[in-house]
Amino acid sequence: MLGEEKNRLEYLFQSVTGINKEKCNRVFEKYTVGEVVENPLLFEGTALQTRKIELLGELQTSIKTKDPFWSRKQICGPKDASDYFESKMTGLDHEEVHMLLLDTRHRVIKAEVMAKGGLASAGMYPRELARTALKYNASAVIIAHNHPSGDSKPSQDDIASTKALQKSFDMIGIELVDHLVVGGNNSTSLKELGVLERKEEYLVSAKTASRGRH
Amino acid sequence: MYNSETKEVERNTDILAAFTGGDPEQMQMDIDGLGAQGLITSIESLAYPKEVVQKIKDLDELLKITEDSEKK
Repeated sequence: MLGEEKNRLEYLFQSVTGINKEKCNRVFEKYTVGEVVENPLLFEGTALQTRKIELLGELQTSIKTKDPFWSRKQICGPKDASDYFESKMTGLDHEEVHMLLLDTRHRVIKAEVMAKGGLASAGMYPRELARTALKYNASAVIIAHNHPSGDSKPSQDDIASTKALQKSFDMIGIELVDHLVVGGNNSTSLKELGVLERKEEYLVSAKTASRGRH
Repeated sequence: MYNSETKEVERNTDILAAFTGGDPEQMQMDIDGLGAQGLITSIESLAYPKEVVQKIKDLDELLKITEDSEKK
């Protein structure tokens, strides 16, 4: 390991574990950080220092193997989106606006209920939607709202608001992948109706969704 | 429902809060929604004090160096 890299490692190890740099310096002369995290006793530190290194290893293993971040559902097409939204919105007796926040590979970061309304309408405010998307660092979003009447046909207002929303999201560099209208047990994709001007494919190849750290 | 995933969220919350000094309640909510890796990836856009953000970034870099060193 080059001197500069070793210095960086020692700084990071001290910053995270609180173990002093001189001790780190001596240990990383002999062992790699991977060896130390795998076998904390190599560090020959106090019980507290050993425990901190064990926790570091535990966290690393958990993130790599069990963290839901890597097993998040990927939305590969309108059917995935409609399956999700229909499961949440079918049967509601009032209107709601939901949003799926997606990463660059269209994997779900988070699902949010953005508004709840009365029998006929719920507010769809671009500023609130954009703020939430930015908060979670989403690269793309899918919006849905339901028609309690059971008719999934988009209204002229739905079409106009979708076009306006796409412009708003474009301005902040977030892709509005689709807007679905859920009615009864059905839903209509405004993307499939050609309302959304698409620059990119809706579908993200499953081949690009391999697991692993970035 | 209290299951293994809930326990994992709580465990990762405890560890991350201990290493970074972040508010455990806020961290647990974020880890519950985003996963621990999601919290680390999105840390700059979440509302944490700048000291906590820096600790998380240091931790992320350390975990990457550790992983790379294990591959060699």
